[in-house]
Amino acid sequence: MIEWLVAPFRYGFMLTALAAAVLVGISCAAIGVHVVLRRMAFSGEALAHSVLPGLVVAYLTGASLSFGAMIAGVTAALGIGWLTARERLREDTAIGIIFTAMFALGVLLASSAGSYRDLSHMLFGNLLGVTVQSLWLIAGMTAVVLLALVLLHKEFALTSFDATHAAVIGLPAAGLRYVLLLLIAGAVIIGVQAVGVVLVTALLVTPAAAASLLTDKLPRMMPIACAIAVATAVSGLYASYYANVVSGPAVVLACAFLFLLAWLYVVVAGKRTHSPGEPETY
Amino acid sequence: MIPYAGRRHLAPVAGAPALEVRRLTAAYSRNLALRDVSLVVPAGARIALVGANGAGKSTLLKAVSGLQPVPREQVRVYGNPVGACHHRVAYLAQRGEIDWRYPVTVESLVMTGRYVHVGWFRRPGRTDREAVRDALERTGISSLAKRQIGRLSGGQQQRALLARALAQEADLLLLDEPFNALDSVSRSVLDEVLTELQRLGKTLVIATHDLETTGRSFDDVVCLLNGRRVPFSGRPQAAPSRHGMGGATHP
Repeated sequence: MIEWLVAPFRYGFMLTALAAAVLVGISCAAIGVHVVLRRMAFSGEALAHSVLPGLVVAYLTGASLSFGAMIAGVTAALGIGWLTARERLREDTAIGIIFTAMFALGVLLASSAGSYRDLSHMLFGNLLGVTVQSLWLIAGMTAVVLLALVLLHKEFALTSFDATHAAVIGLPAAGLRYVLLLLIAGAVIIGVQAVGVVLVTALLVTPAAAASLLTDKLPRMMPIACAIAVATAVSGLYASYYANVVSGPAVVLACAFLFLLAWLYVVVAGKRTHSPGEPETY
Repeated sequence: MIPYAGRRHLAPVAGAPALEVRRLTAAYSRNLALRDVSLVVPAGARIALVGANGAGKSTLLKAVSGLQPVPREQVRVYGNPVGACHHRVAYLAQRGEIDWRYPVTVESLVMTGRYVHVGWFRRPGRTDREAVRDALERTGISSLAKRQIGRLSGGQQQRALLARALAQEADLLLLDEPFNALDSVSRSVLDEVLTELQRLGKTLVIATHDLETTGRSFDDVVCLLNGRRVPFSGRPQAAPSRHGMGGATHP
């Protein structure tokens, strides 16, 4: 049994992949709690998709992929912040149009270069190909995301559930939204290396959504989401090693499976503390 | 402490009224919500702001609490322009403006009243926790402290918001329809707390469309009709038509 558990990590690249998957999982899950609670899943998805042209251009020009992803991610975060500032359905539509267009542009550029193998790594991630150098970037970004979440915790929470009070006490809600979008972009940029542009939304949304089923207290929700992310990162890697399947989708499927378990536990077994809909009266 | 508004909290100007609104006109997406409204609320007074729905009560409260941008000179709070003394103004919005499904406890909700004193990057300390405990006790919801805010009744939610205003230790409290759809227990708690606040020298501006249910006497009644201030005639007047030409005339 122990032999079975340690065998995959006799390989250096598997250890790097494990560290990357755990760090990416933690930063995506932690910021993902805000994504879920503020109903920003669509913005997260748009952010992830619009990173693709940045990756492709960096690849074609021989620049660092992380650098390309970062430029594209920051641009997309600022663009989404601008488009959603008025919080109307039309801006939502605008996001849908612009960021699918950017995604299409990325695919087009990659296909004209004729490199579908590398394109598939960008789309679905290449966890086993993470270099030690990009692991450092992943670790640094995780530290930045977690530090910002700790420092701005009370402000992010308050602007999420009571924008009126936040404004009355002078909190710059718009600025905080941009900071949050940039942090999501940071998590997405490193998440793309693990599970790719298409699947990174799953890391943002699924562990946080599962955690939101299991507790109605924010201070517990983040650690639970992170624990779920770590568990899925590890089990996804085992699956990819022993069943010889692609690592990124394996991690995402493990996430979805844990969400299903949480949902069954809460809804079917009736363990939920309350229904999320109408407030109960006493 | 690093205050949210980016500048130091200003001290009140000596002798200034708690609230002074001078010829304020405010528009809400083309519709004029307030026209040329002036009023002075002395410190320690308890003022009713009456008028039908859409008369401009909420807009006026929002202008005073800084939610609606207004020219600096037109609204002064303790002698300072809006935004220079966030900590001194508490605004009790209608309950619909909060996401009650958000995973915070009653205690944490009340603690957000302390944030204006805590500022950026710091965590609430002992004084803050004591203020929260005290506010929960005075509003009779100590036993609900650890409950998620969506699992309260409407009246309990209103009391939690009142507790937050108490925890903020504001001097000027703006309450938007606080007595709306309250159970009798919450109503008497609210009434008691408001009376105690006034005894402590706090200034209260209470918006209501129904003066009778608000009970207690007021030092003054400010009456709005289609965005204009009109003399109070004994009971709130109904607006003739919300989409009309605003044919209000001074009697």
